Amino acid sequence: MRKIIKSLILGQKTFMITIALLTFLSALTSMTIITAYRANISQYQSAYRRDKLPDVIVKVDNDHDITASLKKLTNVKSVVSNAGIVSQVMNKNNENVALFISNKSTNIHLKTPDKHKIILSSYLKSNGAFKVGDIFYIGQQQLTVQGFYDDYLLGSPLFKYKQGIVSQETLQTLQQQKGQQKSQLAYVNVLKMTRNSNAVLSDYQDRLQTDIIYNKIYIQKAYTMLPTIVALVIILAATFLFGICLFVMRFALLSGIEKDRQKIATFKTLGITNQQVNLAYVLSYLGSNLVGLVAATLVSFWTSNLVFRFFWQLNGLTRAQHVSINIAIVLVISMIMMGFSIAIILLSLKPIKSISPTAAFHGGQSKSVPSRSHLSLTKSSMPLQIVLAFKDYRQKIGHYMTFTLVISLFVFLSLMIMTLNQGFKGKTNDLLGLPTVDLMMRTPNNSVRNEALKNIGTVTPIKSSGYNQETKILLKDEAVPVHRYSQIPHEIKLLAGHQPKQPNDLLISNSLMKTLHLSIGQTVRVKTATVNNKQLTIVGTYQTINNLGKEAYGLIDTSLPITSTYINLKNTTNKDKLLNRFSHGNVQLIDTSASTQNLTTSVQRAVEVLANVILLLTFIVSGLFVYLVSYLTIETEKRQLALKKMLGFTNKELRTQYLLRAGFALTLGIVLSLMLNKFIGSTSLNNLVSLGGLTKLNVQLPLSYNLFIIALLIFESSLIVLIASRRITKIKIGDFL
Amino acid sequence: MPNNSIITVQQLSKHYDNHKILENVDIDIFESDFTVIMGPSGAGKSTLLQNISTMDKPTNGKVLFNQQDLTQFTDKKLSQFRKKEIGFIFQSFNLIDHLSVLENVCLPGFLLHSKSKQQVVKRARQLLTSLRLSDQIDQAITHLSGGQKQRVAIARSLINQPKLLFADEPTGALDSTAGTEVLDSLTLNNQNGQTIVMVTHDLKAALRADRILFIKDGKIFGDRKFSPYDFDQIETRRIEITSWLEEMGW
Ligand SMILES: Nc1ncnc2c1ncn2[C@@H]1O[C@H](COP(=O)(O)OP(=O)(O)OP(=O)(O)O)[C@@H](O)[C@H]1O
Ligand SMILES: [Mg+2]
Repeated sequence: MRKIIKSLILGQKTFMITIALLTFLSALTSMTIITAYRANISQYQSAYRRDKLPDVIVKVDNDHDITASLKKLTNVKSVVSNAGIVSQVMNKNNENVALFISNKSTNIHLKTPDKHKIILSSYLKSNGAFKVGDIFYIGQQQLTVQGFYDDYLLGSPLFKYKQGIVSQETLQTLQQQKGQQKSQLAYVNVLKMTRNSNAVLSDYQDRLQTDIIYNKIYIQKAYTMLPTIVALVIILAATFLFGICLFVMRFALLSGIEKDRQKIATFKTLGITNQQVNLAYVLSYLGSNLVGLVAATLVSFWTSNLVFRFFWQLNGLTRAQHVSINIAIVLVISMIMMGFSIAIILLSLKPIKSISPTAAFHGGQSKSVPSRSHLSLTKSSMPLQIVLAFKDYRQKIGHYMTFTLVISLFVFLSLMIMTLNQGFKGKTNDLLGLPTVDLMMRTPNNSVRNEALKNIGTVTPIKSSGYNQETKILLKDEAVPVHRYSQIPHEIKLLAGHQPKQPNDLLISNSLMKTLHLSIGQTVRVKTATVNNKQLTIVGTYQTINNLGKEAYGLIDTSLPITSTYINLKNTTNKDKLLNRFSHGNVQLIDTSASTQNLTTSVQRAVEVLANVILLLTFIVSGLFVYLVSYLTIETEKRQLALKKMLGFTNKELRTQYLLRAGFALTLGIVLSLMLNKFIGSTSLNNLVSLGGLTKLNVQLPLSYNLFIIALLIFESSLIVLIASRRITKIKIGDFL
Repeated sequence: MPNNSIITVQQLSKHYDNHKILENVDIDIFESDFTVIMGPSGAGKSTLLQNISTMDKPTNGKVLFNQQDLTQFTDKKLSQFRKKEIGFIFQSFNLIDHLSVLENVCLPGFLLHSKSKQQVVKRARQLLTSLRLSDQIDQAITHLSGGQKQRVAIARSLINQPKLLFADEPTGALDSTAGTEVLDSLTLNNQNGQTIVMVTHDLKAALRADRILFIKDGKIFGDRKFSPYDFDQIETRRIEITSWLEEMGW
């Protein structure tokens, strides 16, 4: 038995190594990612429990203590209030960061900062916004960055406010400054949590005045959103890798059996059964798999921690704990992989049955079924080289189809990753559900407003501007934020109905439509901050881009005070300059995108790094595979090639034919992948992204990227096939006659 | 009148690793001769044939054809030589399985580019008909019997009307009737002026020779001219050749 294995398999060392390597790579990536991803969730959950983090955070922009009113609510277990100020500060690079500054932290290990010093949430360090010793001003007061701490509550880049901690004394100094917006966060723990933060506090009377900014579920989503997207992309890549591994196995088996036909036939004449031959193959191939799996398990001890730290950093946290390997994950992944491998091996071993011992006497030549070829050498008017190449291609269609499929999978994967990359690059604001508004401006009256707009226009031309109101309505017991614009932003994509035409028209997000069982044309009675019973008509629904948002849009309500103006600039390079210059006195200029800018960069950076790594991997693995296919095709055809040489074909002609064949396969693969990409690419991409908590990603990859990937692939495979085809030159006729 | 030497082998040696298979062999192959190479199994007959016919490259020595040393030919010149000047027939036929009978025969013709496609096909059909294969013209190679395959191989080797035909045990895989048919067509070609070099174990095949080279231990052990093959004197010929071969230790 050992001898059978040796003699059959040893000729396929390259394959065995490749299979082990591919198994290793795909198992390693999936084990690592799943372990790290689960650790991300569980460690966050345990931090949540350990630090007794709140279920709901309520924010009010005044300094009246709201603890008492919250405590009275039926579902409330405990309330901790945290008073402070919200301020937009400028770092050294003139970037705006919205900070909530207080003297209380949920992190119990934190020491009180020195006077006029501030300890910031660590996310602000890892994204490069601040470092120890940096100085910034709040009003007239100078603050020095003393250090950083992990903020499990407000540390995520998804959140509007990053927390900064100062001493009680410093906080008082800051609060006493004129014009500082005093704010208060109330951390509420409830008896029973529901998915909807508004419903949790349904008997809270002041719901329309306060901001229920986050709830536990939102926070958890926030902390898993980025890792989810990243994990999904990598899992996708791992699946592809394993798919390739299965292809390689099938290919190796089929060509190996073909090559060893005579040997197998000889074994059979010696009385060895099909089962024994099969077993030899199964054992050696599974052996390769197993080697890869074991290695992957060992290495994943290390990589899981690496990736977990990466996820943790995406979340704005730095102090990651050690993650240990999860036996269940390892077992499940191994079993799935082995299962597929066994299936593919058994499927590929079928031809062994049909090898009859007589094959041993036919020089091992397979009884190739002559192709019912439409293309005849004697009739076709095409050049001999092409006709021959095509006939040979048809004869080896199995080989080349594998080649084609692998190429198409590779191109497809690369295109998807590139598209994702591109999508995050351009439209992160869309992804996060924010209509693109460059600046918000608060002014006490119209004349100040017009004056300010004029001044801004002299620095940077304004593309568009209009009034904006952020209001709330109580709709079926749910406090819904309504964004009122003098003109509905064009980023809002209607799913049904029409845009609001009157102040009483309401455009409602599709997720809200679903949860509240509303329909277009329906009239609803709502409560607003000023009117107890107002009648609004739902005129349309739009696609929310961010799953987290349940919002509505409407036109400006002139009965309400109009103090906010949105401004879109023709060019945003001068934005920070504008903020510096015009944000004082009775004009408040706010960069609403600043808080999400960091997230945008995080997502972009993560996806870009990933995309590049995966692309690189793709090219390496595809190169490897193309080489293997080329190598084996030549190996199994040596005899035929020798024969052709004998008939007077030059090496160059033989190589050309060979390249032509690879060319057919390559072209077919590229065409297939483009079709795949066209028909299922965007669907799968959107599903992937929505799993990560984002909904629509409608990006079309620019043609130049398509061309680039394809050109690169063609270049790579041509080069490899060319190199592999050098073996043709080395075939000695004498050895095969 | 002595014929011209078409191939001159000088000091040809062939070594595999440290095994000396052929050692300093000198032979002249004469134009229009039917030269047969015989000798015990493993003597190096096939090796010699392959080294003369450019299928393999000798370790040392020269193979001259028209005063040119074939061992020094470039890939391009070699393939030109192979498709134009020689034909080769093997014991195991060595046809290309996934091509039809006609395609197999035509391939070297198309490759030479000296005639139009139609002319090549026409000649192939004539050859196949003369070899009694007209019914199999469009069949797949795999559907033929051994004798039929060997006749296809002969047709293929003749398509470019080469001066030289090499054959390595062309009857080895065939029964006696099929073998005789193959030998008859070889004899006919020889009578039409083609030079043939054939390796064989088969006495019946050896009878066709007008010269026999006997190889032993990698050396030419015997070299004997005979009168041209004549079916009517087959018995005297058989006795003459057998006794010589026995002398050689056959
Ligand atoms: N590729 C090779 N590598 C090593 N040795 C070889 C190779 N080809 C042939 N030989 C050796 O060279 C010697 C001569 O082989 P060759 O095939 O020429 O013999 P032959 O006279 O044709 O025998 P037979 O009558 O059995 O066909 C043998 O001993 C063989 O083992
Ligand atoms: Mg031999």
